[in-house]
Amino acid sequence: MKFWPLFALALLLLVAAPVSAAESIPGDADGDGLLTSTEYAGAALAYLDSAYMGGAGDLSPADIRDAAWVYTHWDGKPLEVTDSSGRTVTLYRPLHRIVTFSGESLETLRSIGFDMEKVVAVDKYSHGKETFFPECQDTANIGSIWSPDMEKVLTVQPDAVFLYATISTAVCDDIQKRLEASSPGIRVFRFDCFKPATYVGEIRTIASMTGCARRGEEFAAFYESTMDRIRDGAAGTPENERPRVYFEYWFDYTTVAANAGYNEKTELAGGVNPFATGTAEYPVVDPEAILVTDPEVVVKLVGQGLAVGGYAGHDIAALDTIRAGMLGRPGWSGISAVKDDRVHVIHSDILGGAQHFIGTAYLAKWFYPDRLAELDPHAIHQRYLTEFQGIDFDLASEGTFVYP
Amino acid sequence: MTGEAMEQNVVIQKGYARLKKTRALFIGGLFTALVILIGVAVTLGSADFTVDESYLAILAGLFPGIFSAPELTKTIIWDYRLHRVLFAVCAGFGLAIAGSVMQGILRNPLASPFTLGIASAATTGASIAIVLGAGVAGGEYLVITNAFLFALLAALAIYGMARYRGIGSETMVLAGIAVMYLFSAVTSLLQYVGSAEQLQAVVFWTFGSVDKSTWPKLAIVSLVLACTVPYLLYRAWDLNALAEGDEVAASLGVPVERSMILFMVIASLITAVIICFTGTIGFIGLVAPHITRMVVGGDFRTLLPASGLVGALLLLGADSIARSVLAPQVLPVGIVTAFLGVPFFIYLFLRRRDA
Amino acid sequence: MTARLSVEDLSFAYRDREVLREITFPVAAGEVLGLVGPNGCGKTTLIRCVDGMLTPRGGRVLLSGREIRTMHRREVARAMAYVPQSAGNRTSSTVFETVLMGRRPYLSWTVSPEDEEKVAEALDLLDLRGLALRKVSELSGGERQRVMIARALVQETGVILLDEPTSNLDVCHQMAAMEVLSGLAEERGLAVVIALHDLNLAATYCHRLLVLSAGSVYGYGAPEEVLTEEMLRTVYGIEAVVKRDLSAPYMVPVRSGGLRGRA
Repeated sequence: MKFWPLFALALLLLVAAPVSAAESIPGDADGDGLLTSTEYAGAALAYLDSAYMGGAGDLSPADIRDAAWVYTHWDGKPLEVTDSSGRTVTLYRPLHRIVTFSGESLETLRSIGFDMEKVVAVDKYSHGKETFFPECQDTANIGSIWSPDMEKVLTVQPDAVFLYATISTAVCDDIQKRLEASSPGIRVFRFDCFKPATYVGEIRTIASMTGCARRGEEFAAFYESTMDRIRDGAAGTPENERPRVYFEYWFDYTTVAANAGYNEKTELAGGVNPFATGTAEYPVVDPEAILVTDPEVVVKLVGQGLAVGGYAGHDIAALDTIRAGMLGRPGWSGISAVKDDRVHVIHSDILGGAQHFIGTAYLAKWFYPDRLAELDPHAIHQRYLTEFQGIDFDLASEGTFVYP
Repeated sequence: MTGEAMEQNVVIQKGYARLKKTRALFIGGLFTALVILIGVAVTLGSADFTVDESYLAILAGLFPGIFSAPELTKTIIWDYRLHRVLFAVCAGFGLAIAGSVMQGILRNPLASPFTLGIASAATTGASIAIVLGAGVAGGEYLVITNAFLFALLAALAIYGMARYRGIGSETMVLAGIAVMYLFSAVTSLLQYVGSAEQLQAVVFWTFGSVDKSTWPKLAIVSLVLACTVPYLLYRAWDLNALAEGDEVAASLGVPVERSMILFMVIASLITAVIICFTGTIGFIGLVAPHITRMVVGGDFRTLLPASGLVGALLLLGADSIARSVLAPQVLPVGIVTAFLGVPFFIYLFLRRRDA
Repeated sequence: MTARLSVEDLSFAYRDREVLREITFPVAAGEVLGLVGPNGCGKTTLIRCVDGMLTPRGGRVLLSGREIRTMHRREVARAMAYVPQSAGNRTSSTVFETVLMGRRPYLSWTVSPEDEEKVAEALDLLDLRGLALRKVSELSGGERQRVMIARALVQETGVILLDEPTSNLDVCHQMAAMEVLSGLAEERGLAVVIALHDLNLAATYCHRLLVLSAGSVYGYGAPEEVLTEEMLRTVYGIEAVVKRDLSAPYMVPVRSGGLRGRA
């Protein structure tokens, strides 16, 4: 920005244009939806004039700062944001106080380098994750989408609230409706931040919303490159040559199917789940059918319903026990997966949520060990934690996510 | 009549008058307690207001010219707290009244608004909406209208079955049990078929909560109560007569069959309109009239308003506990009222031993 | 003079099963009519038909010449009262309030002092004064029966129907209840129809007896005429001796092998 011409122009403007009652970018004097450098300078000087030289003006320092921000990050234009539910919201100012009802969107904000001080309230599950979200321990706790503390949400006076887009829609719609009815100034955004199909788009949308375009693009590239390499594993392999995978959910003999996210990731990684028939999401499988189908890879899910490992504990032994238990099942010694030593345990922390790309990378590597020999999910995970999440977590000594 | 006899008559009449006065005082006391509890409940919540700030916000909303309060406080009080408190009062009142009517016409002091399967049917309606997405209204009213319609469907089924076999308290109870099992089975099937998330939604609905209250919903429930409760009070003597037995009531001039159906439908309507918004809140409809009867006796002229007030107190008290005990989490109020049932039945059990 | 209560050709059937066949009898004011017959002969059904609880298939019931079918329910309630066999369910009402229910055909929403007085009077008559404010559920069977009768009295009707009111009472209470009823019938000119299983009690206190046998009238008339050994053999199927050495006839069942089982 060149100050001298601005300064000169500003001298000609002694009275700032009043901020219009309708929403507009602060300082947009002619209200045409574009903040030019001229207008910005005029507004800045008008403020100075009113603050120090007794002139009349009604822009506050915050307004001026916001105007500068809009000028820098959005080229002086209001930003049209389309969230994952298809709704479009126009932003005229940067977001200063965000409330997240989902841990996934909170994590994504951190990945793109958002100033976490501006997150003024989080959901109770994130609040409870001392290891993963240490900086959120003192942030306000607004419950969960099933049991939201609406009063607390209003008390922290957010300008934006993040909710899920495609799951628990009835509950989230209800929260959105109540917020928008009682406090029109609060903007509600619906982002999932855990679905492979939409995550990349969401990263970029949130990044542009929050003025973290550069960092957001870095993260998006990181994510995309990982996903591309995952897809490389199966590329060109016809359906009937892909590895047969038996994916077991937290409960014994329960697999994933249909719309279940874990099924989607199994298929993304290039595996074929022969039990994924029908509409039930977590169908119970007949143990005999497993022996008959003879899967080439077996993957067991732990976490939440089968709570061991994850970020909270460094417990290789527990995962080993679970694996050993499976190997010991009657008839399993004859399954290809057991004979080839391709039975793995994975934690839902890295297979679900915002870190799904890490878990899917592990799956891909297990399914195509030769083609993806150079893929190093462990390194990806560490880079994610250290570089993007910025938490001090050394995978070598803390946490248990996969075994072996 | 001899002078002595007349004197003795007066003694009896005075005894009855004293009884009436005690009951009136009890109702007055209940009303006062309710007003106090409302006053306290309005100040509870996770937003940290002082008592003065809360009341100032209420006044500022009612008389904006004279009082002023911060915008945020007013929003929280008027858009989140006030209607919730009043809704709990109305819902508790309505469920208790429905319960006392049921206990009267079924001649069973352990009957409740849910005895005839209303709750099971409403849950089925809600499940159909949640799992299959099918129903008559769309969007946010899908679950509500389904629950309401299915509850009335249950009432209709009871009526149909009872008409076929003769309308009496026994036939109604048997029909009610059949209805309850039928709808429970359908609900279980839907829960099995649905996804994990839909199952969670259905289970959550059955907990019963006042969370989703809004001013329009409060208006609807109040309207229904305003129309039905005065009529029930007007017919109080018929309810009293029914308690003496079908035959005796008939010989006293009560149109027994018509009245039983009408009262059953009214009680079902009140219950349906409440639980379609809140989900199945249990025990209020059973406990409130039962304990009220122990204090004020069975005359419906006092039993109806008194049990209504007791129900309102119980539900508002339970909701206040639900909001405070695990703050900032809000427990569904139906869980707290379910715990209410335990000491109540233990008490009944102990009393039985003495008698 | 038209009888207070008149039953003409009353027939009733449950679906296909005929229960009552062309029953006809009058009851005059001041008269106590005893309804007797073995179990299952239709006594209760007859009372229910007269009371209007059941709709007869044929015939009619007249109250002082008017068919009850044409009368409004409330009118019937002011003309005819009913006392059930047992005290029904355990309500938590007081005795006073239970008896007060009998005033329902006359009550507006509030209870007038006259209503209260009448209740007090009835309580006095049935010797229930001391129990006025006690809960009905706490009383003995006999006391509860008296409460039911008191309730029928405050209804101030011309006809009272009672369905075996003495079955649960001991001897002294049976007699006391029958004394009150027959006394009131005379004093107030009531027509009382009372179903009884105790033939001797019926013969002692009733002016006339109506004997039902399998849904038909077997006999109707004064106890002296109706209570015969022939009737007992035919209707009840028992051997008995009818004695007439007291003011009212009484029957003594005969055990095979003579009295006390000795040959």
